[in-house]
Amino acid sequence: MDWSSWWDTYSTLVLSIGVYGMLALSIYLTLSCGLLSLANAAFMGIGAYMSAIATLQFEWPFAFALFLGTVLPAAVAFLIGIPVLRLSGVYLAMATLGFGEVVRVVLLNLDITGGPLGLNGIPPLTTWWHVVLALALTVALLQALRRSRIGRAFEAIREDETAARLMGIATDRIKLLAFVLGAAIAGLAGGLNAHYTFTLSPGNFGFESAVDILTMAVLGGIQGVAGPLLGGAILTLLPELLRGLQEFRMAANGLILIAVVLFMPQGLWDPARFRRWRRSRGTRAEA
Amino acid sequence: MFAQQIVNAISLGSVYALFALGFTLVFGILGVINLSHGGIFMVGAYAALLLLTRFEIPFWAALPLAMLAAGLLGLAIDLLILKQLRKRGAPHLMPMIATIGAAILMTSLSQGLFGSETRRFPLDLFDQESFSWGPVTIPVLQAGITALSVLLMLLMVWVLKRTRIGQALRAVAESPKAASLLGIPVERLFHLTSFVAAALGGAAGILIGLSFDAISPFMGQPMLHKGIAAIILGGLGDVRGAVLGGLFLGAAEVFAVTVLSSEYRDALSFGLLFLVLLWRPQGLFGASATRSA
Amino acid sequence: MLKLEGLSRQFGGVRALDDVTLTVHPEQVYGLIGPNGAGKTTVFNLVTGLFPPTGGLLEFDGRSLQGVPPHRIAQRGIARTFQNIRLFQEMTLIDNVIVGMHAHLPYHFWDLLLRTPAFREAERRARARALQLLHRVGLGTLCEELAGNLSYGNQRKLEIARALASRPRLLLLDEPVAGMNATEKNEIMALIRSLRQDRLTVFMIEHDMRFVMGLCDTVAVLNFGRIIAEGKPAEIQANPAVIEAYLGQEEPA
Repeated sequence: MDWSSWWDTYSTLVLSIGVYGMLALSIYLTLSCGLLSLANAAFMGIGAYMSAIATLQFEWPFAFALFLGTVLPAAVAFLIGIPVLRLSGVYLAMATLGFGEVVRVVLLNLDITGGPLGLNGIPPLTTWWHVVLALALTVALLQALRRSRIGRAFEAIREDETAARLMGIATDRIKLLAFVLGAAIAGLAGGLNAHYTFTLSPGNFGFESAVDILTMAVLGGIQGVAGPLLGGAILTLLPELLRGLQEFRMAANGLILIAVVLFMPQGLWDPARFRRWRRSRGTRAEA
Repeated sequence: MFAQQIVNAISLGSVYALFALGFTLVFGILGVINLSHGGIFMVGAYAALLLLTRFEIPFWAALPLAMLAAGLLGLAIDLLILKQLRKRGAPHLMPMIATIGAAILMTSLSQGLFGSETRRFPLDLFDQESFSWGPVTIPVLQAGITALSVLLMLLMVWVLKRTRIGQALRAVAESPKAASLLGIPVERLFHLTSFVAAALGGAAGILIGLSFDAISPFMGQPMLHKGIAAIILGGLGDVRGAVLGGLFLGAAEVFAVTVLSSEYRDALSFGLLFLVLLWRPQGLFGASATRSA
Repeated sequence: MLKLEGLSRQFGGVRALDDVTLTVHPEQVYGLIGPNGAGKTTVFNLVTGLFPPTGGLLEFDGRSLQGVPPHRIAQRGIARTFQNIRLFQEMTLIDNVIVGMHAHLPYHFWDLLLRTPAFREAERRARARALQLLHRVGLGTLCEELAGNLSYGNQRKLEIARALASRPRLLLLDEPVAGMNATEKNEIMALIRSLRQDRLTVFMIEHDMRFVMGLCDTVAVLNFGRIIAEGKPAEIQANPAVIEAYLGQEEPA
């Protein structure tokens, strides 16, 4: 098969690997400071609708549309983050779940979002290098954070929030930063996604998508940026591989979630496990 | 008109309360949010449907059998998933994630086995008559549904308040460690709670399936959302709160339709939940008396 | 330096602290002793802002600590360790210590995004100082280990190093030698003496009487949430009220 026909067939899939990688990274960001936020699908939806409305109805340039699709969810995250992040654990998960549901219903009922029909005929503006660039910037951002005082603060908060506060870390601000950045990344991913799938409907951003995004991060592992990317790629490719199963296809996602939590709580990408393997192989070689 | 609305509110609210009751029991006693409770609810409805149509068992026998099936499913989830996580002392997000997985699995399997289309309980099952009382009309079916959920709830509350098992359960809710030092078989009570909670969830599934005349593989998810809203309104882990939260939510939904457009009704439970969490995270009714989440 | 005046705190109906008044002067080593459950750790929790007092005054360097959030109190120069050790278990020793420097890493968000020279320099210095602190508490060779893998005594030492990282002027130590063997206790004693030479003020809770009496300039005794005695170690040991409070509770060694 020559390149152009291969690309015609698989471009959506390839672009999705990148876009879902970004979504998995967006939830990794909040998980890495111990917050289980299920709002990222909603932020993706806000970003997708914002940028699609910008190109479709106002015919603004794509770059500006993506910018709006990044900034609006971040602004929303900032506003709801201030009160919501006072909650922790299951309360936070429930509140963000509730927020996601409210966003879905609002998208379903507004005129500008096309109601239940959604938006159609969004111009196909996303090309491969847009996705590569956005993904590269996201990874670079997260890596830079990881190896700085902010990354260490994330980790400290995840392990013991009280101790972190007593070390002089302004935990409220750091958590808000993670939440807002996660929303921005999810929004950008949504904007890119809208401009190669051409259609949007509110159902794309409900509870199932929130769980999908979470599954990617949990499957890949949150010990570094490689894990979520790996998880995103696997879960994007999986439905293609399991096409023969038809209605049972989603069952695989369910089984993966259960199996990972039970048997591999650190996820697939676990540097500590790799180190153990290397060590045990090393000692065997010596013997 | 108003009186009729109140009747409808109580009827809807009591089924929500029944669902929320099992949900909150698991949180109060196991300390876990079991997000597969909506899946169990759906399985309960399908189990009853199967018993009624395929095996042609009368309703009075199908109801307890379907509850038993739902209960066994809940027990299986406890043994296969939650127990393993307890043994490992896994952080509290882990059971949430794993039970989301279990819910997806149940939905997908039902979809594959029974198809995605909406099914109905056989029409000739019940009297289509109604009671009339002044301006208020109550179909027999609706009255029966309400009566049954209230009965099950009263039974639960009685068990918790008046029996030795209930006393032991309350001790476990307070502190599993202290309870086990007192010689209470904590693990067995965990299994029992999972079983009973799931059986109640299954019963709620059958009753909702009857009252909306619709059963589908996807009915669990919106119900789970309502259940979450109800138990957070009532205060997590609080039995009385869950019942009040369920009733409150039912009333809010019934009356919201008269004010808001019906499209927004589904957002209402979450809008409420959102506000309550921000304003009073311990719930509307009473103080939070349980272990921290 | 640190002044508590008429400080009280209730939990539900229980008075954990009742009218506690004491002053820790600069460059002093101040000891707080008392039977278990007397409310000693509650004093530290109030001073570090974990929860507000129900009554009384709390001042550090002449400024009130009332309503100041914990991270601001830490930034003003109060650091602490915990009775039930609270390290970041899955982080390396050196990262634990660098977390303690959080508020002292003078670079902006842009610096870390662009990895500017200012960022690199600040991070390099932080590592160097963290290593120095680890050597000071005798853990220098373990700097890349995970904190969770340390022995109990070493975890306590790491907590002190982490607390010192924030350049505190007042160091709160909550039972610094609990669970330690005699050698380790002597090491900690020497460490605290050297900290005093660096003009650090130390406020500690400790049960080991030999340790308290050997180190402290002033000792206060807390019993049932009230201060029952305050004075020089020798006076405290001879105080009949103190002996009374300890009788049947535990042996003042």
